[in-house]
Amino acid sequence: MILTLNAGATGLIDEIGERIPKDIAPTKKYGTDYVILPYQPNPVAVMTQLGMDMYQIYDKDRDGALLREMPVMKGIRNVKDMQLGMCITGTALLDYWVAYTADKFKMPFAGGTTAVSQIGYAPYLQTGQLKGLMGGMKGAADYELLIDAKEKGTAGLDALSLAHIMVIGLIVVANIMMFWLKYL
Amino acid sequence: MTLIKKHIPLAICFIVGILTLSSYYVPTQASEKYVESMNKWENIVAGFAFLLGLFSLFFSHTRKITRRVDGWGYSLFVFVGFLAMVVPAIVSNGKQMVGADLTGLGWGYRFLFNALSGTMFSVLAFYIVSTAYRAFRIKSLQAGVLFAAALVLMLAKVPLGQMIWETLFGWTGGWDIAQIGQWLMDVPAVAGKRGIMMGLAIGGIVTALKIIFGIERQYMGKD
Repeated sequence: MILTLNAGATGLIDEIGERIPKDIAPTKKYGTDYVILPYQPNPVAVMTQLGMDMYQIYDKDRDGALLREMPVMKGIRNVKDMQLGMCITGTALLDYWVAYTADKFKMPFAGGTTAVSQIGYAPYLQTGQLKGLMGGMKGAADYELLIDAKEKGTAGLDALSLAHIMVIGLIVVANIMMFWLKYL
Repeated sequence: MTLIKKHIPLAICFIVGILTLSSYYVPTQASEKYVESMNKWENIVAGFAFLLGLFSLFFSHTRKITRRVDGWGYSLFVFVGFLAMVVPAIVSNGKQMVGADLTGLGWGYRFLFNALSGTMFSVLAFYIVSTAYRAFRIKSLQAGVLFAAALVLMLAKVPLGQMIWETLFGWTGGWDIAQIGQWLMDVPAVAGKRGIMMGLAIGGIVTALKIIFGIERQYMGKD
């Protein structure tokens, strides 16, 4: 099940939906192996409802087909019937998934966040509330290496490295200048 | 009047608050049904809130344009941006692709929204450098420790940093920058984060109880 709870990310979901049959997983069939759900506006209500009877809030897929009749949904009533949930986000939504879905309904959960947010999720990793976490572009590159599918994460590492070194260099030079002006 | 404006809203807030709170901790079939209907209502209200927000945004920017306040030209772009995405979305029935072709919405999302979002995020890099320098000015021992920790983390986070560390300090043997970075993240940073999380949680509980019991009434307005 692929879904977004961020209005600005609906286009991203469409792009993923378009790429799955082309290059991400060409052998997987829509409706049988995966399904894309429509956008819903209230994240907390959706997350809570996914732990009870999810068809009360998602009765159709994004194209209007009945969800219950799809083979991929056979035997699925809520997140307790799923093996893993994963939230890839640049917002704080992962916090909500942990609190309202993963913890409450005992669903194994993992996440992918920006590098800046990664540190905020370390307590969840230590307690096992998150089973795994991809932090920033390096995390994405590590994951790509793990599954042997090098893509944008790996490609971006050069730029990321240079940007980090540049920032470090600028801070060091600025501090040297500060000392120079102050003491010499 | 006080009954309608004060006592009834307070009673609704108290009853709904207590019911929702207890339904979280007492998972029965009845509480599940209650939460289900609340979730549906929340989604409906959130949908209308979108609409309300949109009207409010339009009124606010229309006022800026008609009164020619400072920077009113930027307000025009609110309408341009809105129409640039909404009109193609209606025309293409919300679909980004038809077969192998991009619709107007798909084109707008890919070549306008994505590009502009990327630009906004990239501009942040310059602010980060400027803020980083201000934060990492080594004016005291504490600032020095902060800078050292940041330096180690930044080096640990990228392969080039790890290579530089290896070249400079590889001879020391056991001092792996990735491990030092991980220790910083796992121990001191997590300790601080836990403290913040606990504080936030306690604050959240107290605020929620104050709202449920009618001590905090700002949501009712000034009257």
